[in-house]
Amino acid sequence: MNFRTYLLRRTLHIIPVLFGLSILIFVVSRVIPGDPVRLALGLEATGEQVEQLRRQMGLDRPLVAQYLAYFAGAVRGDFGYSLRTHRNVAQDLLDFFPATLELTSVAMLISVVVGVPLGILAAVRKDQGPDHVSRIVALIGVALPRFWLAILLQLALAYQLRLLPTIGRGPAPPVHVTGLFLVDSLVALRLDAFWTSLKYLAMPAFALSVGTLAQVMRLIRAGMIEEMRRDYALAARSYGLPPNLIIYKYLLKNAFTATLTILGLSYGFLLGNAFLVEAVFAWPGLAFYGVDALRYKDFNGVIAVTIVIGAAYALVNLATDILYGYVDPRVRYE
Amino acid sequence: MSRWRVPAIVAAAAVVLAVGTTAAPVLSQSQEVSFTYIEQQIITSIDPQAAVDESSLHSAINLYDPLVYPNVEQGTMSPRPHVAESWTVAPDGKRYTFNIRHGIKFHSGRELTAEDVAWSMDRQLQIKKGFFWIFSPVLDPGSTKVIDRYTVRFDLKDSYAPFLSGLELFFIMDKDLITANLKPGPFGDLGDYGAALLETKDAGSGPYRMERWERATEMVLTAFPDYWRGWKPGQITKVSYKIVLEEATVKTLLRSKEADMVNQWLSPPSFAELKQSPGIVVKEDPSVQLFHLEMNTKKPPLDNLKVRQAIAYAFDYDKAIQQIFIGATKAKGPVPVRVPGWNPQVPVYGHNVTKAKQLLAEAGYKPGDLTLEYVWVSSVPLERLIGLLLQSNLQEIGVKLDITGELWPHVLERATKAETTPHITAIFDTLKYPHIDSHTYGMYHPSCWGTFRCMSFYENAAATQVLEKARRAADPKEQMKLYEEAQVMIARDVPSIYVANPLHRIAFRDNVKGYRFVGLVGFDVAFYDFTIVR
Repeated sequence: MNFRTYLLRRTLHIIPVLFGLSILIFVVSRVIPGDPVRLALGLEATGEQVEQLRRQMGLDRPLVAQYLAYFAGAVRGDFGYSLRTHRNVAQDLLDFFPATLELTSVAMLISVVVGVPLGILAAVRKDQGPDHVSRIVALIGVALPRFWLAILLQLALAYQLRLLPTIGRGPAPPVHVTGLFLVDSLVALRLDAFWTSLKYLAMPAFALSVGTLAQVMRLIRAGMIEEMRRDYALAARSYGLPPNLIIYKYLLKNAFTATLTILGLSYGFLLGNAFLVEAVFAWPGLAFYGVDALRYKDFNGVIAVTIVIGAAYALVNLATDILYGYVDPRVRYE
Repeated sequence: MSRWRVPAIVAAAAVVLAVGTTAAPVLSQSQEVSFTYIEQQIITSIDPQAAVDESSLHSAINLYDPLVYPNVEQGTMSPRPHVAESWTVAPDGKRYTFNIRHGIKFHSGRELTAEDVAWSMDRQLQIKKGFFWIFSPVLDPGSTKVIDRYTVRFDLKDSYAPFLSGLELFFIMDKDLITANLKPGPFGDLGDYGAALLETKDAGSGPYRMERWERATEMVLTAFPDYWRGWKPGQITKVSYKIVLEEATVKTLLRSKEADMVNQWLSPPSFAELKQSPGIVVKEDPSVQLFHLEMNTKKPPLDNLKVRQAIAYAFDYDKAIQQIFIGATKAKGPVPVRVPGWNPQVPVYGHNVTKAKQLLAEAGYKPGDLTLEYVWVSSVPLERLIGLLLQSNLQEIGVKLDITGELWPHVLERATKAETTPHITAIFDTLKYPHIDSHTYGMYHPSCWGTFRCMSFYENAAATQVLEKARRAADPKEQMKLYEEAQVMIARDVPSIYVANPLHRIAFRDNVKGYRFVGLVGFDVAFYDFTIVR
């Protein structure tokens, strides 16, 4: 099987996964107790008025008919009416998803850019000062709740030192292409807007990244130590190859496989679980929206968020699988 | 037709003069005063006729004008003239005629007329959102008539006591702007009735115009220079209304002066902490909220009056107020004490274990005979504390209480039938419209059965009759007398343990002046009323 066939097959696998997920979340959202229509209309609405809206939304139809109607709409990009925001959920997704995507992507970037060098340093200086420091940093990073770290960062960097903005995403760039402020700023060739967006992103992205960063650091360290003990590493050293060449060209690539798995899983996880960080920094993201929808039983919102997060999870994992082949040539697309 | 003028408008005329309608100064560009307000819940809609939650109401109050306005200047929620500068009521209470103030401009520049008022009421009734349920019992689309450019008449199906004060929640919209921007929708020729337009723009005549709205983060308002009440130096000209969920962040923003005012949803310990911070004022007012424990009168053994009385006597009210609802006022009957029409003669229960035991014995129950279910809303931990207090109180008289926390939607589901409704449910109930009818008829007339407000399933033919008579009474004095009578009848039957009227708290920087709380949800955050002393 060549790469193209593999890619096509894996992409097609995503369809039944999402289909199953949509059925599951649709049924769960309909059977959990509570009447979202009454909540949406105001608690004083009469039974007749509640019934009328229920009819308008098709909630009086059998569950299967409701699902088929929902599915047909979703395929066309219509995720139904939000009882919370009083507009189509698709519009909500367009507004909220880019913020979370940007936040999570930058958090993952920080995890890699900071975590990998620190992991290498800890491995190269095993059981020396840098290794001990990295161990403590990793422990704190994994153990510290993200939202608590977020509050501490906010108090220190925004309230006391006034280096960074306290909350929000900052002003939107002059052009709207992707909804990702960093990208849109560059598209508009506005470095000032890019810098401003970066300042708003710095604290939430760092707070979100810390757990993954710590994991990456430890995994790279463990992988590097293992690779450094192998014969090929010894041979390279005995040939007198420069240490940096050995580390970055040969050892790191081989040590990266386990880290790649964690990065793939974390990316998907953070997309749906950034809520607490988003809440602290008033970041208008999808997790924020999803939790709000859940609290008010806005079931169309809940279903759409679940499907989007599910799709993102599936795509990130597909990308990870493809990257395995690049990192480890022994992996075959079969 | 003979008519009598509502006496309140005479007094209100003074207020009208006070708010300065005749010489409205023009807003100068150099007078910019910015203000940041922090809210912990998102604005779900800026359509004033869809708004029900506090944050959405804030947008309505600042972008639009209601027909009448709560008399905040005199510290009451009773209506005073606003868009309507005067009105008359027919003796049978079925016809209200309003004279619309001349010269009010919409943000589009067009004058607000009677036509806009009638059209707005029809829209409110047809879209069936927001506060439509206040008006829908007595008005149909089309029953609001335009008499002339500045006169509009509401023909009610029946006299209806809360109608006039309910109009404080009726916001006037720019008919021409909306009809020129209709999109396809479910309302026939009227398409979406402006829903798409109101996603991004306002169609009001209020003191502020909407500059920008990002649903989950921020709404920016700027002063409308041609606002009919005029402007004076120090008033706020630019508002940044920010949504921040996390309590710690909200406190940081206020302390660092990045915010001028923060909302009422902080926890009591946070308000206590802010009280100690320099430069911050925590304003506390008795609210128009009732916290009570609704007893299901259709479910044995609570169908027995003596058992309900025994429970009411067993409860330790002082401990609840002193240790749980710190600073609150003890509730005296179903109506919060600051609501006009509250009856001070209403029977009040106190903690009396001997009496409670005696009543239980008279009802035919021995200690250990009874086990009751208490349900609290799981997102409100304070209700659990009250449950624990009640549990220990009932233990003293030999009644076992099982305490269960449930999600709010589940509580609503259980409230739909008497059989599924728990024995006792902890409920916070805020005045739903600015009239005593909300906490009498709205909670104890059988028409409300099936909602969380009526989990007592209270039934007393005599009280029902008085409530119906009160709602239909056209004479305000007779109305109030009947509502007072109903309060006594209801309290005697003990459908609830009336615990507390909690405090309403809000915090702001000490240079913010003009904050006034009269109880009606949202109207305390009318930015037009605030000034900043720099």
